[in-house]
Amino acid sequence: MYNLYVCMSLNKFSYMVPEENLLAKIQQHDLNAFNILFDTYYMQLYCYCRKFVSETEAKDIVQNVYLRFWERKAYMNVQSSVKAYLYKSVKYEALNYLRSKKKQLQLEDDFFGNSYIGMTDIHSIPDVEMTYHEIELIVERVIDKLPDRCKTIFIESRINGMKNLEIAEKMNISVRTVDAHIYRALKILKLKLKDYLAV
Amino acid sequence: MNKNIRHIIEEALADEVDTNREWNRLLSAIVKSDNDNPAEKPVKKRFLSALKYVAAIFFGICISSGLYYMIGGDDTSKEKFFVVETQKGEKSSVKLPDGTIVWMNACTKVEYSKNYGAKNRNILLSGEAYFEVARNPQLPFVVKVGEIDVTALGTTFNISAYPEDNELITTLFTGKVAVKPILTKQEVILGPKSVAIYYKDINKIEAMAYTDNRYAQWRSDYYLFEMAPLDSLSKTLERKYNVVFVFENKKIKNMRFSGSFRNNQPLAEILKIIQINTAIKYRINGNSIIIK
Repeated sequence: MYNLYVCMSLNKFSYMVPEENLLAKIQQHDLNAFNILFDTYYMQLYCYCRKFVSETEAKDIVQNVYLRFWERKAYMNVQSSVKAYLYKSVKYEALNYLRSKKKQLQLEDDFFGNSYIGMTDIHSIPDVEMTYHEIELIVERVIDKLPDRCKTIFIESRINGMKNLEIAEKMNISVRTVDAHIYRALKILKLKLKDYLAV
Repeated sequence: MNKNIRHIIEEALADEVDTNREWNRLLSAIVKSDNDNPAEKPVKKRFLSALKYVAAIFFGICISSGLYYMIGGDDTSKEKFFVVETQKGEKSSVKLPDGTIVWMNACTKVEYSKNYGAKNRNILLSGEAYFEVARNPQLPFVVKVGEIDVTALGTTFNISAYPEDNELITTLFTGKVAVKPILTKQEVILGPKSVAIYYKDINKIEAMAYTDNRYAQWRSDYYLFEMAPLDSLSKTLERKYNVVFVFENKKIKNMRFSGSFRNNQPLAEILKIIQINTAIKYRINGNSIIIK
């Protein structure tokens, strides 16, 4: 226990903090640690929900999942995987929400070609890991297919972390051109993602 | 690499979700949840509840409560709360044990512990209420609204704190209150006839003089709206008349309206007035009002 504590105090507080340490801190009511956890998984959980519910509903579901995690943090074993818990939780919440919505609306949606609301088997519905992986692939594919210059500039900026001014100087073009290319890339990404989320 | 892709996705979806804003939202929910359930060390909790079990089995209920209090269970036990709640279209009032009167608007919830008046005068508020606080210099009267605490000594004031609103508005009529947000160090002391507005999204609080009758109008004879977006106007009407507004065209939500209504004017008349002034079209379907 003591060794663990020493390691934690030496660690710069970054995304490199191993998960067990993060959980231990969260259990001590460390809101900064909880914030890191929140940021790490938020988009995955949100995008998953957005496959079948609206923006507001997705936000509410994810809020509830995190809130419940915070309320139950004391009962989590430091060995257990927080990621697995969050993934399972959000899948469960989303399903519950849809089931109750179905009772209200009496709708039968089509999802991946299956009548999924009728299914009681939680395993036959795609999970968070899969959905988010698909989204990552979409992003990679979109970037790959960008026109040459646009692609180079976007990668230098958003992957290699260069500032717009630095890119402009390196490529001997104006900053406005750099801005325009990045804006264009983001616009295409946004379109493709919205298409995938499709609600 | 993964972190970069995540940031790119965040950026691409920035128009529909803002992670920081969602975090702040969660923070307020946590603050409220922690207020309701004071934190206990899990080990101690398990120990206490295990002890209760054993005692109950072998010694009976009377002795088990005795043991519970002996171990100092008093301050770690969950406080019992009284809850008063109004629905849409309802108003109510409640008199607290110390003589303070709370007038509640629609969709409002007020909670106070059974210890209210003894060690503290804390109450939890969600919604909108007007307070006539009984004087007690020993115990400050504190209203907790998630993101802010409002402390008063002997005053009359109104707090508008609906969870779905971005602004928490405290209007002081007489006396003096201190409005303290939880997430920042800013604190605002209000003198009579002033207003403090706390903006949840930017976590900032502003104070100003109360010049027109724009705040705490639900208690007066009429409502006055000045360049109010239809979005917030419809929310006020929803709570008051127990209806639901559906906007078929999202752009209409941002249209602004200026005008005044009598406090008990029938909704049908109000809708007609809004229609004349803004040229929107509406259709009434049971409890829903559909705006085009």
